[in-house]
Amino acid sequence: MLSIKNLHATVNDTPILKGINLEVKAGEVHAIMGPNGSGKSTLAKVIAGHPAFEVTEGEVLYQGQSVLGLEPHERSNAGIFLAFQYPVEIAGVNNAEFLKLAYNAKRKAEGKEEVDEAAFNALLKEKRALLEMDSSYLDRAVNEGFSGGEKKRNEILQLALLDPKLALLDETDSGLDIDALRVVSGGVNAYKKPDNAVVLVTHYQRILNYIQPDFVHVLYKGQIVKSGGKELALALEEKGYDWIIEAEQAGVA
Amino acid sequence: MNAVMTTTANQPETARPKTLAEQTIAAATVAPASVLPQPFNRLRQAAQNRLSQVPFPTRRQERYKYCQLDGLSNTAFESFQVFPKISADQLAALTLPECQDARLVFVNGRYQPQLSQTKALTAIKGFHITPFSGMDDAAAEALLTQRLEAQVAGDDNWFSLANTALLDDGLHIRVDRDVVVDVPVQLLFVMAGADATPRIAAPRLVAELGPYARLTVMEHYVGLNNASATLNTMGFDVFLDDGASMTTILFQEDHQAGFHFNQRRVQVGRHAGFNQHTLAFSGLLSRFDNHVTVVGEQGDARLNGLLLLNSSRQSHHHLLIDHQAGHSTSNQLYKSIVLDEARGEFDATVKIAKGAQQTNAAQLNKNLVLSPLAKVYTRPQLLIDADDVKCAHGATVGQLDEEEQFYLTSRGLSPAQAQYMLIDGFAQELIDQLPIASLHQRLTGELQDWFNQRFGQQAAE
Repeated sequence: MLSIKNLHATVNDTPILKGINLEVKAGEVHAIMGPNGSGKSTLAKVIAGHPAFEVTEGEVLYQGQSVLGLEPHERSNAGIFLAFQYPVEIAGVNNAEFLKLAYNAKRKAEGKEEVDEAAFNALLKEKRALLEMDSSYLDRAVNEGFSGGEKKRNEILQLALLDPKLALLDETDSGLDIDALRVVSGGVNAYKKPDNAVVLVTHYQRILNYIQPDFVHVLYKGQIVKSGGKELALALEEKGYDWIIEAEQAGVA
Repeated sequence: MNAVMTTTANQPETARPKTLAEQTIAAATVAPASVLPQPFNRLRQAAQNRLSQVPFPTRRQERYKYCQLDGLSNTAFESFQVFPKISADQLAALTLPECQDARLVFVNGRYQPQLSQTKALTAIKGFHITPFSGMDDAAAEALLTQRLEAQVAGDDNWFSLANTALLDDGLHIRVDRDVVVDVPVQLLFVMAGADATPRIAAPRLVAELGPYARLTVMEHYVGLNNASATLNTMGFDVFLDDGASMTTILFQEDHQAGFHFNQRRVQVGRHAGFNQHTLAFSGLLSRFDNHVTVVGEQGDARLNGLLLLNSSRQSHHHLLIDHQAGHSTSNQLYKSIVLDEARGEFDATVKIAKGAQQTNAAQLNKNLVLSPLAKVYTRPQLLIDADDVKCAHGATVGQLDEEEQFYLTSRGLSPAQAQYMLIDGFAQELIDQLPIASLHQRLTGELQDWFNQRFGQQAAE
């Protein structure tokens, strides 16, 4: 599904990613953990094609093809989805209208006919129920005035609608209370299928109680310094990141 | 260099050579062909005398610093001699569905009763619309002495004086006490070209609303079949009595070679409300001087503006909101979208007099500049002499937000779709506020055409 090889990326000439290697297969859930500033969010944004980052070395293969030459919308149409850590508020753009356009863009990319208002509303209603979102979200501007939790629900609503092959979830748990975390995680679990994959970027182990990872990777200073199963997340919860960082530094020294 | 400039600036105005526009317009004012009753000659003469003392604007004047007047100054304008027929189809296309029976038409500055349809209005008791050209001498005399004559002596706006000196025709609109005019009135000002000579028009509106009266008008400025430059000098005087409320939508759709100078004076009484929505979409050069005086306590003035400018169009919006009474409020929201080599200007001053305590005023100007050569000039200003007031002002100038574009495209929308959504979203805040429903669809459509044209160009490059 996703194969990242020796990926280096910079923002304004400052290196952030310094040789990432990662293999994600269909049906898998990978958690990327690490202290603040380690490059977790950058990794997710680079895969999605954020223009602020420059890939200086390495490769990102998605379904065997390089995506580095593709525009963000082309990556999205190919089935890559990024749930934002900070969903952008867009004044004046109606949320329902936006969701419909996004859904039809995907249909078009798949060579299917666009759906009409009624068919889309029926689908949207079903997905909203999953995320416990009432219709008041639809009349509002995209994310404008939404609480932190509402924004994250809106992200996972888009995930549910677009049903991508690869979901990159960037700190989807941050700023959520327990109820919202349960709802959002429920949305992600409902989305999960044997033919898709999830890369979940998170600072805390908490969300992994709801979404079971198959693999856990620790990112530090732009590199994956440790990989393991879900027990690694529990060890991080208990001991923090310091022991890995110290081991890494000892290794470097 | 400095010394030379100082010398030039200090030269007496008489030594400055007169521009072609100034000479020809002054000549036209001497003996304008008139359909107006006798007393208006006195008004025009007074304005003509005053005009000879007021210098033609140049960019050395602060108020015209960003106004590129060269094209205008070098054009020889003459008054319209012909007033072409507008076809029924053309008229139907220009008429809003809400205003089918409430439409008054001017062609080249003159009121055209045979093109106007006022069925819905004549039914309203206490609502009076009288064309200047249809007044008797006594009514004209009353309008002059009560509303128009006094302001000439202190007027230092060259285009306002030219409008009065050349005055073609006008409407005197009166709404009696407590009368609610529940039909929006479309006032259509057509500049219809007839020949290759650059022409000037000088129409005028006067609106007086009695206590608690209500009125909504749409001033619609359009150009049809124009082969050469035109200059529309428009004047609008509004008087709102206690508790009166008026909304005006000023929709500017001048033709490619249209100059438009629009001078507006508004007096807002106690508990009265003035709402204006300016839509500046076209023309070559337009300028709007809005002077709103809030004379009564709890008077309210709201002025919105949406500028959509491409090519080398210029649109200049000058506002002075003068709060002379306390507990009054005003609000300005102007947004512009400029591209190519277009220029937009927002120069707005809120003035609060010493005694006007507890006044609440806000100004906001937001600009989207979409091409490297496009420019906006923004200057929201506050002049406050009172010490217990609440004022806010701000301005933003920028391109489309990169994070917003990424967010939309990361959901599969093409870059063009994303840009359109953002531009449309930017404009909708103002379009949504328009009180005439059919305009929402129409303006959204125009915005879309405008964008598609632009995007077609981009694709072709």
